Amino acid sequence: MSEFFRLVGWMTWRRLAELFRYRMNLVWGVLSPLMWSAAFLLLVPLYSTMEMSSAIGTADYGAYLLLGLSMISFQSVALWGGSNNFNWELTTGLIDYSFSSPVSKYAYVESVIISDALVSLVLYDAPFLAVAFYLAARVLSLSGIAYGMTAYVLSILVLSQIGVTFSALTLLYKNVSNLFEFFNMAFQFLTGMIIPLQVLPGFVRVASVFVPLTFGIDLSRHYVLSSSTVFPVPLEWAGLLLQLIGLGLTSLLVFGFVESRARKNGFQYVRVRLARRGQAHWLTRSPRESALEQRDWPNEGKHTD
Amino acid sequence: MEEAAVEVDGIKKRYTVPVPSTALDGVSFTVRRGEVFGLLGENGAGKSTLIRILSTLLLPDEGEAWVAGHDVVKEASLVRRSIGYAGQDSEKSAYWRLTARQNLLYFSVALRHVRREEAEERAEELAKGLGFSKLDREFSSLSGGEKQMVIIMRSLIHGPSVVFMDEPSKSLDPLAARRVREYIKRLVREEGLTVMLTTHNMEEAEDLCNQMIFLERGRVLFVGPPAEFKEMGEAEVITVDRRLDEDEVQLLPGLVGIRSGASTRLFVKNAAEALPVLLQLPKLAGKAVKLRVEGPTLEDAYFRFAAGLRESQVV
Repeated sequence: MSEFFRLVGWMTWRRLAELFRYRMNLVWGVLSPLMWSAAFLLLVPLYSTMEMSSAIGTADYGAYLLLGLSMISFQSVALWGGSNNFNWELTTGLIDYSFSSPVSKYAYVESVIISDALVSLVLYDAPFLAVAFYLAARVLSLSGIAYGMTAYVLSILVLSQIGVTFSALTLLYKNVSNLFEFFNMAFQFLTGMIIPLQVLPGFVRVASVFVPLTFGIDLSRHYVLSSSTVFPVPLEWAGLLLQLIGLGLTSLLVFGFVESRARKNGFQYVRVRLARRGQAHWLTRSPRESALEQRDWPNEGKHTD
Repeated sequence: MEEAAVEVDGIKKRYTVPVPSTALDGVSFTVRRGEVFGLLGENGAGKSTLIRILSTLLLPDEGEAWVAGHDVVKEASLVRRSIGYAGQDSEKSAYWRLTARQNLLYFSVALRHVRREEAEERAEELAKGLGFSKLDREFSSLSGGEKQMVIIMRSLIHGPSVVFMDEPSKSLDPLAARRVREYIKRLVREEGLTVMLTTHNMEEAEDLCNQMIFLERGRVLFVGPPAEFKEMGEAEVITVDRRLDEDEVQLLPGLVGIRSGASTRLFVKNAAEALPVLLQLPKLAGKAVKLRVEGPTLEDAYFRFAAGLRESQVV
């Protein structure tokens, strides 16, 4: 566990060192959420209608929306932080160095994600959360914040498990960026992140159960704003914990499988083969691409299946 | 085993995609503690595969290997604690927006269990030893050779007992390459470090390596000291200041090989016998020709060795 915290600490340090080196970018990065959250303060009353209030059980629709919106950047880093990192490591060859180090590779990729999420929270999402809390000041309580943030953090942990799986997929298929678009839309519309699930058709609510993040967002809103929940509260907690355990185990298994496969075949040739119409197909490359890859990575291992 | 830093016994590795090929075919050798061991061979000979297996990045299909007394398959994490690694794509493989110092600090503390103070001290020490004065420059602003220098420092900063380096002198200018070689020799002498490196630089192999191995298509064709390898060139070398083709010199007595370029290097059993005939060749007779006679270099031996594998006496 100390290894995990050391990794998270140093990766966060690295991310901040990189960010602070380019002041203009950093200043703009910090100013941008501040400006948007300020603008939000002005726009919120327009959205807070009676119809919406009765659907979600709170009049603080602005805060309700902000708590969901702040999840967008976490969703992005949690799902793609590890994947992007491996993509870069494969391109530069750093992966050989990091995988020949004695740290746990699962802890390594999980730390990449958590450190990205921490940096995102401190630098970019804090203003949105601050405005959400300000708007909800009327109903805010310390215990509400504590429970709400617990659900929030658990959601990020659930997401990071999917992120670990996507990182493994990056090792297998090298470029999985189009998956992002699919999951991005699913996460934004099926979790009630932007449009409350309460006002959407019943089948969307059923589908939302299978999307990690739904329970986390709903619970954090419920505890912070006293809003109504889509499903009974105990059921949502149980769902969140089950997702964490289930996806955690899945990501451990998938990552372990890919890691052992990488040790068998070399990182550039870690792939799975699918039998299709009785014929084996490599999923990632045409023969021409394989030939080009041979040229670029002449001494790299070749697949052994 | 006590003196062995690396022990390799019958390692085999085969790939099947995109084209079936044997990368290593029953490789065995021993590297003693405190030795610099060179891996030589043409591209695709299996050098990088071997380094990757010993660094626990790849699993062998057959055979066993131990690094620092630990089995590379069964005790991979113990092997990883004992080794340093500088791979083939090394000069890209660091964080470009961090300084050289920050990179060294991050990699050693986060990934190699070094205490921060120790890492800071060690970075200074390495930079001093290698004559590197740009620790506080951003990695992206360093030249290719300077980046490579940082990567070499990264492989040494945590005080490993065995270091694997895949073409360490790549991108280094001759002076920097010499400084690196001198520093490695010092570490070997003073700290008992064991270094295994692949190289195509014969000067480096000759200067640095106590032992070397020559691989071809995954088979070991030679293991021993560089001097012994050089002797396998056995011939004397006549260098002529112009290009001669193989068919022009085939009647030269004792000819065992030829390397043609702007000048020509002729490998002969006895230079005294070959010279009179050489000077009578139509291309040279009656002309002012610059000639040099010398013993074979390691590079000559390499070329002869590699060419011999192509079933030809002519290199």
